[in-house]
Amino acid sequence: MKEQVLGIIYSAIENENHSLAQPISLEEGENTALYGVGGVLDSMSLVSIVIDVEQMLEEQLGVKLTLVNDSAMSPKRSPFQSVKTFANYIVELTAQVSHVR
Amino acid sequence: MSDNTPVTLITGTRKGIGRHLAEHYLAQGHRVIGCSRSSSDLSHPAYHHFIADVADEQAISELMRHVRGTCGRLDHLINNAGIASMNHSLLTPYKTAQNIMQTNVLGTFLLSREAAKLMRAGRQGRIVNFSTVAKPLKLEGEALYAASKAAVETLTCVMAKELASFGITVNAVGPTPIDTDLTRVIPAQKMKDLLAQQSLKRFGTFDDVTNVADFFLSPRSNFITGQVVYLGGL
Repeated sequence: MKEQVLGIIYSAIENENHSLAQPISLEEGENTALYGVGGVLDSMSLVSIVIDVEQMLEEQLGVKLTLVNDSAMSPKRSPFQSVKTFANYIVELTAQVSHVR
Repeated sequence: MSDNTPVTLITGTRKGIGRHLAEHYLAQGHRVIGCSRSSSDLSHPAYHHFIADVADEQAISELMRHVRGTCGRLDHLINNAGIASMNHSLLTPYKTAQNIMQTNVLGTFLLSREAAKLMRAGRQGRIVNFSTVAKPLKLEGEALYAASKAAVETLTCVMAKELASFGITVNAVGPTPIDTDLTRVIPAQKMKDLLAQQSLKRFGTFDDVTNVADFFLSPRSNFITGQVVYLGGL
């Protein structure tokens, strides 16, 4: 599951890279910083990546998730800090959805 | 149907202005997706009707999934669906107030949010919202309705800024009263007083509204966003 989620996140970043003056390097893999301290994304790029990820999760994995909520936007505990925290967050949310079902 | 056929989503198409807009854009060669809380008798090869409440997040999510799956993109959204309640504020039930806010404000927000996600991929899109002259005229007896449309106007202006970088424009039209079943129940003197506050003292027509929608949807209007156009001269 996590590998599939990582693949989706990388695809979304590559999509966004087309419109970035300084594309995000994925050389550091899961440790690539995204948003917040040390991150390279501005808020509009984060919006684009999150929307892309939501759509791909639905299309490829059949999982309908809303990834942004009030706690997710907290600077201290934002799940969007890095590729790894983002992927872990999605896997956690997916498990909760499955549990409810 | 060619790939270049404009795809237009209109809410509240069962009757009134929404129905007129659907027929107008079908005649213009658009592929039109309509919705309302009940079924529609509008039959056209390029028309698909959804039974959906605009304030129902799950239903709107399903509708958008259909648009994405069958059309692959969305060019225009016209947030026409709305409800009004003409009543003194002291006599307006809380439930009525909730319904007005949910449909007019949250429905417009929800459709715009989901539509913009689809439009974003094509780096272009047009969103047209509905306000009313009751807002600038501050009409007595329409406190909740006018307040909801004030919120729609603010939503229009803020989303215009937020969506500009995606090539999506967001504007609003503010119709005057139109001679329909809805307005015929209003006392004649009250309606006369209302029309007297307009520069052009007549009822609006469906075509007056369509004209403004045409302007906002035009490809040439890609530099027009965050605007509210009132009819009748206010």
